[in-house]
Formats: sequence, C-alpha cells, structure tokens
Amino acid sequence: MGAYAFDVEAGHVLAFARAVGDEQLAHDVPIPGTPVPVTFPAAAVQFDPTHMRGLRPSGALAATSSTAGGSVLHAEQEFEYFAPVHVGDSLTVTEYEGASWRRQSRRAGTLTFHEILRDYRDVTGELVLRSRMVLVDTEFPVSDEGDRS
Amino acid sequence: MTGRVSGVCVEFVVGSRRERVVIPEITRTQIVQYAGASGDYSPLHTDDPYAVRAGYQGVMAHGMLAMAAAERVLADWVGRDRLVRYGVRFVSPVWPGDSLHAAATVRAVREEPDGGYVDLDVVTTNQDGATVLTGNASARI
Repeated sequence: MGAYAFDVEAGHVLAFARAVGDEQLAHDVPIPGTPVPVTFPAAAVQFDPTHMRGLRPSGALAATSSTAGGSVLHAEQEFEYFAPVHVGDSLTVTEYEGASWRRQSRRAGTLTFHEILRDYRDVTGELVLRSRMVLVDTEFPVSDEGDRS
Repeated sequence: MTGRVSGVCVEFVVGSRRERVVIPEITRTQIVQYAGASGDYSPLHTDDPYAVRAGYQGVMAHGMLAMAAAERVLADWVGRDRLVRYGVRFVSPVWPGDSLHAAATVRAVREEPDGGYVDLDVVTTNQDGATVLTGNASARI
C-alpha cells in the first residue's frame, strides 16, 4: 500500500484517551506538544484514504477473515520509538509485510502468523517510530484456557 | 539508578513495581468507543452475531485496548516522552464485563553510551487472575 499523511490531531488524541480511560488526557483537548499515548499511532489507519471506504477496512485491518477456518487475531504488537510523537506532529506512514511463519497449537490447530510493519517518518524523513503487528490466522476459534497461541 | 522524570527524581530499583486496576469493567460501549477512535472496526469487536458465528461467546475487546490501558501505568511511572519501546503478546481474549489489572516491574537498569535505561516487564490480568497480556517496555532515565 502507498504512504499516507498522518497529522496528529488534538481531537483525535482526546477521543483515543477517553476510549482507553486515560484520566490525565481525557479532561481537555491536549495542547500542541503533548506526548501522545504510546499506542495511539495505531490509530493512523483513520488517515489512510482507502480505509472504511464502502465499509471495508484497509491495510493490516483488512485481513479479518480467516483462510484456515478459525479467526484472524492480533497476537503481538510492538512500538519502537526513535523520537517522541506529539500532538501537532505531521508524520508519513508506510505499511509493509514482514515475516510469515506457521506452528501448531493444541488450542487452535494450525496457526499462520503474519508480521506487518509500519514506519512513521517526520517532515524531514527521519524515522520516529516503527510498529510491528503480528496477526495469527487460526484453524479453530481460541478458547479462554491457557495461552492464546 | 535514579532518574529525573517530569521534574521529579524517581529511583528505579530492580524488582520495584507499580500496579493498579486500569479498566474496572470493560463494556460493549467502550469497545465501540475504541473502535471509533482507533479505526479498528473488525467484526470480532463490533458485530456480536458475527463473533458468535465465528465460535466465540460474543464480541471481544481489542487487544490494543488492553495494551493502551496497561500503557497508562508506564506513562504515570516513567513518562511517555521517555518510553522507547513497548511490546506485548495478547495471551487470552478480553470480554465485556472483565476487569483489567496491570502491573509493571523493573527487570533491569542499565547504562548505555547514550544514557541510562530502565527495562520493565508488564502483565495484565483479569478479575479471575488469568493473564490476558504480557510484555515489556524500555525507557530512558
């Protein structure tokens, strides 16, 4: 998928903070320069011009239907910051696929993992954040008992 | 090692821990709210009949909602502008009605050429004590 602009808007950060129960950020519209919640950049998909057009998700979130009979679930997530992200920043997001692998699980059968990476760069082109998402396509629905994978 | 965080001296000692209830009760409304804010409208989180057909008891919360809730413990302790890495595994689903308790524990304090760092382990459990999320984070101090 192509790169897209992600402007870190104060109202978006406020809505995110209220959704996750962040007492400190939820009171007022955050001022420019406020550090964003570490997981907030996951919400950049809102700025992908193709996202939810015709009610269809884009990028990593498009992979919601299992090809194996179970479900596509979010197995792991990582954010690596090279500089803080603040309200008012203008970033460019590029999403690309990483590794893929398989293994067996007693709880959910054959598991197929897909790694999806996103790079967030500032206006000078410097990498400020890399996120790594691992999705797992399960053969069966996952029960509550024990380890998910 | 002692670090200055948001103007306050904070001592990071291996084994020291911060913990609290980060979400007293997950509601379907909060799941909808997170879907709207994050842009993740996966039907496993937003469409109850779909989730039941997929073999689940109903919609589950986004793992990212649990990750964001646990992040507040880190933010309060070390400061958001100091966190350089935060990664988790989503171990078990989180359901409406669940209460989430998050804990962060100092695993290591280290000195690198560019300054001091603290490494923390993170775990989130539900009201039954079951682990729903495990992970770790690193911050500059």
